[in-house]
Amino acid sequence: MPRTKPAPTRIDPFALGRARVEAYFSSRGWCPFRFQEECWDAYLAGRSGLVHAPTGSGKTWSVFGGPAIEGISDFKLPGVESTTAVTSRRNREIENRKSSAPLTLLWLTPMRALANDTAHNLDRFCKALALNWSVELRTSDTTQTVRKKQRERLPSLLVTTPESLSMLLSYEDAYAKLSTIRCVVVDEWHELLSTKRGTQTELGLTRLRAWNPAIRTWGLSATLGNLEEAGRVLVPGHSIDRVHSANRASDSDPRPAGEATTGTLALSSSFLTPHPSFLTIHSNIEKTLHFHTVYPTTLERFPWAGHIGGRMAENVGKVIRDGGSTLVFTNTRAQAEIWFRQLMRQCPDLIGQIAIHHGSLDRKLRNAVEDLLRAGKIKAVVCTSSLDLGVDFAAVDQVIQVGSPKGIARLMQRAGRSGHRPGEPSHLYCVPTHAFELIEFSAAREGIQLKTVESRRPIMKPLDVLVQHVITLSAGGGFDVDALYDEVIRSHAFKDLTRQEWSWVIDFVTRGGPTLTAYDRFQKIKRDELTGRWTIANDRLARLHRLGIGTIVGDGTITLVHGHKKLGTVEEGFIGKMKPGDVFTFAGQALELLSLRQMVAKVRPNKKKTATIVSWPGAKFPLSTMLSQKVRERLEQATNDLYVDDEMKTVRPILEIQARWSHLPKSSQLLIETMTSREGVHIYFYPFLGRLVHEGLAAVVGHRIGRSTKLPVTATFTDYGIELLIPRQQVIHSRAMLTKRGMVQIKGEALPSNIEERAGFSQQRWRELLSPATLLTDLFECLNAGELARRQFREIARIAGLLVPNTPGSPKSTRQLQASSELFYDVFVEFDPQNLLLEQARREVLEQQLEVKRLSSALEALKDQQIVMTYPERFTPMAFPLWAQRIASQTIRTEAGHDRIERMLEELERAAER
Amino acid sequence: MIESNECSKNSNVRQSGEPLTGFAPTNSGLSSAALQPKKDRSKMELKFGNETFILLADRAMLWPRRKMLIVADTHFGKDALFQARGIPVPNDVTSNDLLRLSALLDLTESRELLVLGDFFHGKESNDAEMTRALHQWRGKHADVTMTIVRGNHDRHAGDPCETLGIDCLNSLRFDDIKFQHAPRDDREMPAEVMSDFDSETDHLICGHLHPATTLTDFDGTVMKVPCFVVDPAQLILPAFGRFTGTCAMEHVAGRQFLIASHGRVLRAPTR
Repeated sequence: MPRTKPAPTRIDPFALGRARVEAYFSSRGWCPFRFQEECWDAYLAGRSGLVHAPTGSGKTWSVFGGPAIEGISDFKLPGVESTTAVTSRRNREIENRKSSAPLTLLWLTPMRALANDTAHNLDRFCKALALNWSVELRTSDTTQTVRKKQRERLPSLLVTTPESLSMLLSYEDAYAKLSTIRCVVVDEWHELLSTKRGTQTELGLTRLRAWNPAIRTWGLSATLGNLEEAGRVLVPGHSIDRVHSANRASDSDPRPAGEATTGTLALSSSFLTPHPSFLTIHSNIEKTLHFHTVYPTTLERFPWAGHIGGRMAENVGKVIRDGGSTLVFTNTRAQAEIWFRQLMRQCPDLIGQIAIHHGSLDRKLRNAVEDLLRAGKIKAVVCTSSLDLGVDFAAVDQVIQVGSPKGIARLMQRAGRSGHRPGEPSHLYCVPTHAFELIEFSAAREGIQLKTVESRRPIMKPLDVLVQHVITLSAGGGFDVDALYDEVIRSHAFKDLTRQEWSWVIDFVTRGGPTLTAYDRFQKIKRDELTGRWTIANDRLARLHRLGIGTIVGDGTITLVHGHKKLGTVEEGFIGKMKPGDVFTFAGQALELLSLRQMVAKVRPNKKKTATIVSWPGAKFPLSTMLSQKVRERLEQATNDLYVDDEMKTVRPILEIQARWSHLPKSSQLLIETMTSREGVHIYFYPFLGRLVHEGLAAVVGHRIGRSTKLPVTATFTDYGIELLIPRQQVIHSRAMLTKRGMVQIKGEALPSNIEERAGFSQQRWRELLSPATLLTDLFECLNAGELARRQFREIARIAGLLVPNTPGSPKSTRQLQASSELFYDVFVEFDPQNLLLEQARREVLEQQLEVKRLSSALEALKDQQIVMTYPERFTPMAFPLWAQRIASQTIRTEAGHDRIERMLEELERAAER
Repeated sequence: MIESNECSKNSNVRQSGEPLTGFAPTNSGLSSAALQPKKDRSKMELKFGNETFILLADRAMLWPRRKMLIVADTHFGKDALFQARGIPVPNDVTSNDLLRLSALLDLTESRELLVLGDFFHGKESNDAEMTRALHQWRGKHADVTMTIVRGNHDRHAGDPCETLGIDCLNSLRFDDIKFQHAPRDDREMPAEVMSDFDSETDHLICGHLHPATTLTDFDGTVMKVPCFVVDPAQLILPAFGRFTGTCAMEHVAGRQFLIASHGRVLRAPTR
């Protein structure tokens, strides 16, 4: 009998649970992996941890097993728990067997799609283990009836999102409902880590820990360059033990090699550690990855984004036909729409066998597609990152990546979607949409082989998220200002929060701002004179606040409706440009816009007219630093005529054209190409530092040119380089002002002075433009002047509760409260310039958007680079994607909105004077 | 596009110019036009019906014959309403708007002020504190006759305190010129406001829409600027309040956009 079984040091109180889980495993013919058992032991020893395991390696069981064993054992063994009040109620309930256990395990997933599957699986496990746990789901898709039931009683195991956790925290009885939690599992932690949703999760966890310090937190993460930091963010203030289940010690592992050979040994030593600490457990599951590249029959001369795409559809169709079930990943929703349409057009035999899935489609449509795929009723799904995460598709045999992989970790994760069962290999087919992506694939494959994977950095001190959290807590039972400060600084994100910043946050939510600028009539939260606790002022404000909980900020989204059927959402910016009668493609269907009213667009199918592809602005993944470095290495090899693999051999002719027409830069060179067109003077330069750094660099260089010449410069950037366009009219305007300064060099030769239209810059001038000196001052100048901070303020205004969501469901009374974030930004700048949210907008632009640290070190590095200036006759293979990019418009302007209007009005005025 | 005109003109300059080989850091102005004496663009005369009006850059309009200053959509107390609903907006927005209005009244030496509706933003805007501020402001312009033509927001907000001596009406008429809040074709407006209009002979001056027009820059960037919208029989004023949004209006044949922004009143290019 488990209870009487003697043990050397102590009786194992969890023997019953272990036995039952083992019995379940053997009934399925499985045997627990060593890393799973390690997780269970660690959990049962009261520890928290982070499990690093690829998808399809049994990671769900690794974190579910511990709480399940504990839950089963509870039933027979009262008094194991330390929190007696909770336990006694708990056991009474269990003994009465009238209902299931109270909320015990909180399972956070970053995606709603993931939540569905997870809840389904966990419910199955609980039933199989005869564990007296109810399993439920709560996301924004949860129906009102279910939510109402959950308001009365939460299940034992709740699968939910960070937003819904905040929602739960915003109800008055939050403490009673949530303090019974013993364990929080954060699934796909790497996805949340570097986002404000991650910060929201951190704050939620901090609150739960304040209520129950014994709570254990377990994260699940895919491969990351900074797993240890990821662990520190999830459970701050712990010491880290590492356990490698694999018979392989990582480089950073401090333990002697002999000891590292078995995980059990490491674990038993960590058991001796007096303080229960945090574990990073690496699974020993190695997935085999078969990496294939799909080659275009002929390479286009110009690698224009999406240009080759059309022809590649047939090849993709072939891969789908020849293989089993397939996920076709694209990088953007628009790309998914284009590829879906192309596949239908070019492979009509696949019609009915492929479907489309992306974040803008209605939940019901997405569910239907997921079910079809799961049931094996369709062959392929064209999708975006909407299916990146662990939706449990055991059925997927192969994965196709269309377009740039963007990062090594991302590609690995996508590849891992196939061969989902432990031991099965993954099949990855890479489809380049322009020639340079061949280089990226070549580089990414090497990265995967060498296991060099990107890091994701957590966000520090986002005050907007803190403001939201504080209001959430004021609605959820109230708080004490000092106690909450002590609580909040225990989170990783706010560990450096100063008292002053905290006072500002409290002033902001209580009075609208510090004393001097306090807003007379502001009311949001109020102080209870008796208890000194702050609570939300009234129920209306609480309801309004709940509408706005969350940190995901879309462009205003318009709901598409056909008859009474919801099809999905599109951004206001897109549909706003259309007139009734216009046709666009959505979910692979041509839809005609009938009317647009109050955020609802009525549409009907229309196949006659040619359709525009819906464009969704917003998050575009930058090429990771790691990958762009590897791309540079590949180019360097090419300059030495070294083409190491098939991908590089295929792209060779294009690189040779680049070298012939202009120059193929070595890693130690900065190539600057200048050419003219009807548009004006184009200057291309290629630092290869990734989109984010390029945005900052473009802003600074554009600003420096603009400041000294008063020219409106348009800057466009991609992951490889930057285009500066000085429009023709302006060049001509100001040429009288431009004095000659140094000779322009073309590969060592003097540029003939009769090349009039080349607004060339000298080497020296470029050194000035790219100088790291005064970088911050210049950045601040263009931030204050520019639109960047104003744009960034949108997200902050939304999270901090300035923008009231205007969705079809929101009450009519909110209509009077509509104001755009730009308007808020402008009045704050004008009337309350000290507002810390403005400061945050600038900081976010600097740190996250422009990556100022990397930018500054990049400029330092550029100092040592040799500048090579060329004057090609035509757009070179490297320049063309940049040109195309600007046409597709992702540009930054060097002028502030107001300055721009001023100048445009001046132009109008001059025109009027003629 | 705006620049089409300029290109041809400037191509002449290019032929006589020097070759362009480098940029010098200089802060000198862009165009030689800047050196010429400038026409005063802060106001513009407009014939509407049989009357002459002067459009002002600060989103207001003057009727010289009656010495009447006309503004629309002041949305006073919008900041207060947001604050009361838990959304922090700086205090000084409304007081600054009152200062702007005072400055205009003084500058134009108006005897009358007409506000074309949406005087207050909402119920919470029209409170004791606001009334105090208005009394103080009203005192500075004791000899100015003030009238409000009610708008949709005023229905919820109520009229300003009677002791302020501001007349509140649903509409106002001087011969063939009619003043009301909403444009002629607005369906959401109650019938009593919209009645009494002879589309053959009458001229309507209104607000409500917060009109703006768009300007497209050389690189395709579209910027929105507030404007007056003038049809043969209807003149729509831009919103006066600082903390108000704008709505870009469609181009229709016969409709003119007169931009009021950045200290200028300018005719927008027709397309």
